Amino acid sequence: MVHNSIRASLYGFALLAASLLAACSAKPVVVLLPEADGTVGTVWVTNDAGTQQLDQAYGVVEFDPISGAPLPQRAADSEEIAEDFAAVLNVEPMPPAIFSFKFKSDSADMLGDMTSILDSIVTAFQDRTPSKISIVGHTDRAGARAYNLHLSLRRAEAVQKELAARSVPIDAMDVSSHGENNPIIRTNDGVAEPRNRRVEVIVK
Amino acid sequence: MRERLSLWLSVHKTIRAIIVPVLLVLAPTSEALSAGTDTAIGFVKEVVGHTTLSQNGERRSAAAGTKIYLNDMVETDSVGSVGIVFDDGSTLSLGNDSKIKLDEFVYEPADGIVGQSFQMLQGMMLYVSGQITKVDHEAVRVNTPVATIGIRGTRFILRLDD
Repeated sequence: MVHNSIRASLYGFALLAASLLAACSAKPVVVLLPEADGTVGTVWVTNDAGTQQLDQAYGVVEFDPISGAPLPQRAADSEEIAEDFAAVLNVEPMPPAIFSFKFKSDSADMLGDMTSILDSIVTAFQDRTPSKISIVGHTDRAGARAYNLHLSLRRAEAVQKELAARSVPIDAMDVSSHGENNPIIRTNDGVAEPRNRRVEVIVK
Repeated sequence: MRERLSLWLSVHKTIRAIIVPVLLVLAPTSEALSAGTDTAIGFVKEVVGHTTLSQNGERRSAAAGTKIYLNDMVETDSVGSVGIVFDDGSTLSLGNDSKIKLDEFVYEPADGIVGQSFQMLQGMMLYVSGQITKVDHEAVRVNTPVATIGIRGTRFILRLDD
């Protein structure tokens, strides 16, 4: 029994010493994390001594102590990562929420009943305080380019008006118009494409 | 028609390229910057401890909602941390004793012109990409004393030497 408790305290001491040592000798490191939706992207770590690609969730790239070259990625434990990097993870802003409205052809009238999406935007805005909302209008390629730039502005302003009616402050909203420049579906000029007639809302 | 529009756009850009630096010279204080046309590139979401924003010798204290400008140096103290959101929806968080300069932020998706780069000098950061990497896969980078980090649509942590 006594023996066990000595062993336990020795073990505890060793753990403490190891963590102190680790804290004192924190080395440069790059860690790839999955995004909120589970997507895992790619980063490249490059210097004069070499380059390494990091593309696995919880993959870690460290540096050779002598040459300084980035080392090939190794897998790390997700719980360890959460603990070691709590300082930044604790102040990570909520991911922006993205919404989309569809419109009738050559019109700033929304398609269908958008009440529930508008309410969701207000909720997302309140959840993220302090928060800002980007409202971006788009058109398809039917009609002239300059006309479409104005049409997509009218669409964005229609959404802004609905949000203002739900008590979102005007100065928290940023309205812009992309006309036919940023389609979801690429088409030739003059083609009507319902999926490109839209307003995208990003709640940051 | 299209050519005329793009000519107008480029003239517009040239005019802005001249006017903006002149305005900056005439009104170098942060109050004047935030009072005029909104040149902010993002805002502060959350601060723990103390975080300072500085530019051209002007220092501001960061709080939730504080605007962030291009070329700001963001510094946290020994118990500080901060979360920032940029106009394109990308986010940056800093841990204790950290220091980063916001070197580049261009977000004009209607024209396909985007770019974002940082100079990480000290401490720990967490970055999550936004719309900029969706427009251009190779438009975001972080320069550090040990390496350059190139980013393709992702979420990652970087820690420098203590």
